[in-house]
Amino acid sequence: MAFPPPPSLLTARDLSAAELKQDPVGALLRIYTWMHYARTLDNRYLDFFRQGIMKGTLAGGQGNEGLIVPLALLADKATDVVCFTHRGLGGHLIWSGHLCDHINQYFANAGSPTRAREGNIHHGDPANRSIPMISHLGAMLGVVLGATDSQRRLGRPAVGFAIFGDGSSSTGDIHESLNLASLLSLPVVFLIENNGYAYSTPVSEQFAAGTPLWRRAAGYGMEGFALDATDVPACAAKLAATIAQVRATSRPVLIEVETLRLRGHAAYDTCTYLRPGESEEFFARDPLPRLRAQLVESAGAARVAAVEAEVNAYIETCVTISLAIPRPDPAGMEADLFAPAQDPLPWAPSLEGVRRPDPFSGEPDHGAGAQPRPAQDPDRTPRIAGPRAGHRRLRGRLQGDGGPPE
Amino acid sequence: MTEDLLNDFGRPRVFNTPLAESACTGYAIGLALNGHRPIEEFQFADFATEAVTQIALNAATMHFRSGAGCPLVFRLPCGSVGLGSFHSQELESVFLALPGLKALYPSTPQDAFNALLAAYEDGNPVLLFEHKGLYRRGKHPVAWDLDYRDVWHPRLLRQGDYATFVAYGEMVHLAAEVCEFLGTEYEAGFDLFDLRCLAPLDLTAIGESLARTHRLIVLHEGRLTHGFGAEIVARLVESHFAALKAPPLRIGSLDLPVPFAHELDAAFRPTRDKVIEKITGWMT
Repeated sequence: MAFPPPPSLLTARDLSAAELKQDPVGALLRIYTWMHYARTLDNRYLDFFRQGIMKGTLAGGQGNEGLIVPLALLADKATDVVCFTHRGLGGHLIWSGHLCDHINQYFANAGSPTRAREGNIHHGDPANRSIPMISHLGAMLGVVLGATDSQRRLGRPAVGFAIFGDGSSSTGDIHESLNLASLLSLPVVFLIENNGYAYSTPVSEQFAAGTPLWRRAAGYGMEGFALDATDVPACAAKLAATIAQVRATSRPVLIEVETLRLRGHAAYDTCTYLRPGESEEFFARDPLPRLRAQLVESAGAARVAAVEAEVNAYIETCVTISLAIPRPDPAGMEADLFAPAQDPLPWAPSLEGVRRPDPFSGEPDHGAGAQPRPAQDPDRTPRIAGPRAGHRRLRGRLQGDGGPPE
Repeated sequence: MTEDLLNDFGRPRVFNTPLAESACTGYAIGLALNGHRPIEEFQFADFATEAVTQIALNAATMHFRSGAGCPLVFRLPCGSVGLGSFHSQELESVFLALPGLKALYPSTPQDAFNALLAAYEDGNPVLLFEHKGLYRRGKHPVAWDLDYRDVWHPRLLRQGDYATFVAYGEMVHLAAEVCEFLGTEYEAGFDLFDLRCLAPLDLTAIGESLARTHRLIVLHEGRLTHGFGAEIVARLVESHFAALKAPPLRIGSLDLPVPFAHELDAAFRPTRDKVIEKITGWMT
């Protein structure tokens, strides 16, 4: 069955800082549309888990939409790099793919974009620089750094979004990656989704009191600040400014985002570790109903209701399609362990030469060195558009050492 | 190791990193996903244990779970040259217990050159094991070899009828010396194979040899228990059980951390005399 075209509401996947200023009602309505979309779908997934037709660690983004939706709308999806966490359904929906693809991923059926080899939130769109997460979230930061640097090396003004939680903030990869990004001056926005819990472990048992995570930025020579994702308009405005700044300066920034986890760690979480009334406190801070009330005021109840009805109907249409897709076929698993053999690289061997010109000097490099060279190598094309503060500084520092230490 | 590369390609492409093996391996994965072909050099294979999650869980599973190619070369200087437990290990069976990694382990300069080309052009993460003892074993001319992809398969180094002898890495040289000795002193000839490629494992030619010789010896520097030889022997026994005239012989290092002092290291790992003793004991 062909996938239905999305309603026009859900084809508007971008948002600019200018729109936030000049058309705040329109901008907030767009944010609300995607937040409602993500929330409704996450809740629908919860239904399916309870019915036994979705399995696994079904982790939802309920409560995190105030961060992830504005972020994904503001990102340049044609250039930027992201790795969403298990709280990022709204981001995945905005970044790429058809809703049926996303639902198929969660059903792990024959139409799953990961061929059902991964489930739920463990997907992405590598071709569009949305990197599929492994569960060791800290490990994903380095990958965002590399893909972002790759974009810059290819002359594209990308920003990377490296997202992790209060839980993974304690892993060594976070330190390694913050240091590396600062050292190489990589244009990466580090976002800590601090929702107060690493599964059942509260932040009070994860790091010492009085040591807010954003302050760690200072140790890496980068800017850091806290951001409240339950205040959606302010959060969106600050994200827009920060993304523009990082894109322009190529300096990384660390943001500790105060966010919510309304439905526990995952669908199977009974949340028995919460204080009595704690869950109610989370829901009282939920930005979604507040944003809705604000828009009912500014855009009108009918308009908001129409948006919701259209989004809800689209979800149900796609759910119906995905439910009819058969279970996955194990055929092909072993063949897909490795990427298939490619055409050989067009090696151009040159073993005789002794001269080794600087490939960046613009000189022809005939007879250079003993290494066969690929005739076409993306790395050898001019790729650094504009100054790269990081590499210039790195080179300057090392040249100052009086030569390479190798 | 990188001096000429630096001269040829410059600092933007050949650079030091902080001692952050995990983040730097992640960085290399990110480059690979976006169309580059990074080569990461670990100084000592032992420090790749700091990046096991990135290598074995992230890069190695990438194609299976996402369909994205992840062309990466991990250069892993390994093996014992008297540097103790943390600069000496053979880690092939540790990494290859997890799926999605290819692995080459050359024993000659030409094969090292060919292996680097073969690994570099492959669309997958490839472990390139480089025994440190081979770095200074003597200089040999290296030629442009149109058949460099043959390094993905074992090479038959010498022929004989008594047994099929499989080794890789520095142990290939030791195996050749042992074959020479046994040929002279015991008039026993061996089909000696340099395995070269550990994953994907191609035992076709070795199996054919075993069907003719009926006896199998596997020698490696890695420890015996869960050593890579166990996999080779298991597969060949499964496929050639009826052809065997003797129990296969596995020779590897002791099941201990790598000891420091050279007297202890000599007791720890296979040496020429110990290998001869094991094989002659097995022959009688």
